[in-house]
Amino acid sequence: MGKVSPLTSCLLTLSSVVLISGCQIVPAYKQQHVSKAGMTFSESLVENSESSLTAQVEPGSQASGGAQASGCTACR
Amino acid sequence: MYRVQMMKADHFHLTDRSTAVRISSNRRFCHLIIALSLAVRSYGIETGEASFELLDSDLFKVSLLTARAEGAVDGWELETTLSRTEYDIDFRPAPFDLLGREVHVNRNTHSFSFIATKTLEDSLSLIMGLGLRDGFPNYRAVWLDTYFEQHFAPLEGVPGHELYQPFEASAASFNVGLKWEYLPANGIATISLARIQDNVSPGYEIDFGGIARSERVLATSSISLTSENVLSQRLRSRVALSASETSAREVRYTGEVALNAALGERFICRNKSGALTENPQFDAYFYGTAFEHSVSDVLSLSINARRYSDTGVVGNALLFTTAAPGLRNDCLGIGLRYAGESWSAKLNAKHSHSNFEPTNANTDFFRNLYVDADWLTLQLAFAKRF
Repeated sequence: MGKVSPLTSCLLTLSSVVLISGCQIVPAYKQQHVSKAGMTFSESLVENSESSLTAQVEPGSQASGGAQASGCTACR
Repeated sequence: MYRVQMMKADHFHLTDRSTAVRISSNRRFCHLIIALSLAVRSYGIETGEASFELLDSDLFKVSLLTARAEGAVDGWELETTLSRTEYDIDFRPAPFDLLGREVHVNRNTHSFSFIATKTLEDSLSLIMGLGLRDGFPNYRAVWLDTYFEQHFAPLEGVPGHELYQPFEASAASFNVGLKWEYLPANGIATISLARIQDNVSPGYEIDFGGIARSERVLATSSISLTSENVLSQRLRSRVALSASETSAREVRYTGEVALNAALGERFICRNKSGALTENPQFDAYFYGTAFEHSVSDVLSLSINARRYSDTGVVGNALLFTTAAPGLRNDCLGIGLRYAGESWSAKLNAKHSHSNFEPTNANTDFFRNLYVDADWLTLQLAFAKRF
């Protein structure tokens, strides 16, 4: 892998911070705010805030692999 | 409808390749509908969804119809998705392109995906997915296929002409993964492996040795890690990291961070940022943010903005001469969402402006593909919980 850009470095750092800070417990009865519509990450056509056609205009925005890759197999 | 089109096509002796491709594609779409119907009938539907999306600019129009169903049977959670994409393109060659001619191109793409999830233990689930696509993945591929057809199909007698064949793009993928709820109700990690075979519409070049053709089949292997966490009573995050390797290409690394924050009782702020890098020099970045206000218990209004930039596609699976120049895309949109007891719906509208770097001597023939454009995106979706 070649030179890592500053933005990539920031993203990796932020990812690490989010991963590490996620190791705490918020009881389920206190999760009413993070459980409402608009706060969750969902593959639902209604709840997902992203357009499926975004990758047509932004070919590098398909960051996720796995199941999502099956819908956009040639987004390079 | 299919029979009528067949009769029409027979009447005109199928001289138009696009007509033949459309009929063949529609036949497979019928098969996909039958497959979806059988899949859906085999399990009880818990949620059914449908959406229509439109992406429109002066030269290009892409419309997408999607149907999705969720259900469960024998301890398996099942997701089935079927979609139909229609590309309407006004193909315009470069002014100095003597072989090219203006033509309106219409192509259809059909996709099918099936995901099954099985709980192995209390906190561990197995995920398996299958995906099929019949047709072009994006409008750029349609445009390039038209370009190569106009320039290389007529070259009979030129050495290597036998390499040129009308080609229909398709893809198949399989993925398997594990989902681990390592912090009950607070943290979920998913690791996934995927294998994709992509039958691309190839690119062509000609020199003194005759016609040469690029790869027709590309295989991609990828591994991804996703972690979703409840960070506090008002913060939820998701991090996705992945690495993928495609035939004759360097490894591509991608990362994405999303952070949703509940600001007060009625405001939500969603943020998403991602980056991608692949040698020799392709980098892409994007950042998006959205503010959502709940005007009532069931109705929400939102405004969103997004910026994307990349350094241009250096090796885009075709020949190097088709490589896209650098791109910057800015987007601004508004949205409306209804969330009732059993019905929910979404209506979004976005405007974006894409700005390409100037083409160079290698890519001047594609200046009307990599052209600055104003895009309108409309999205309407419905969901019904049973």
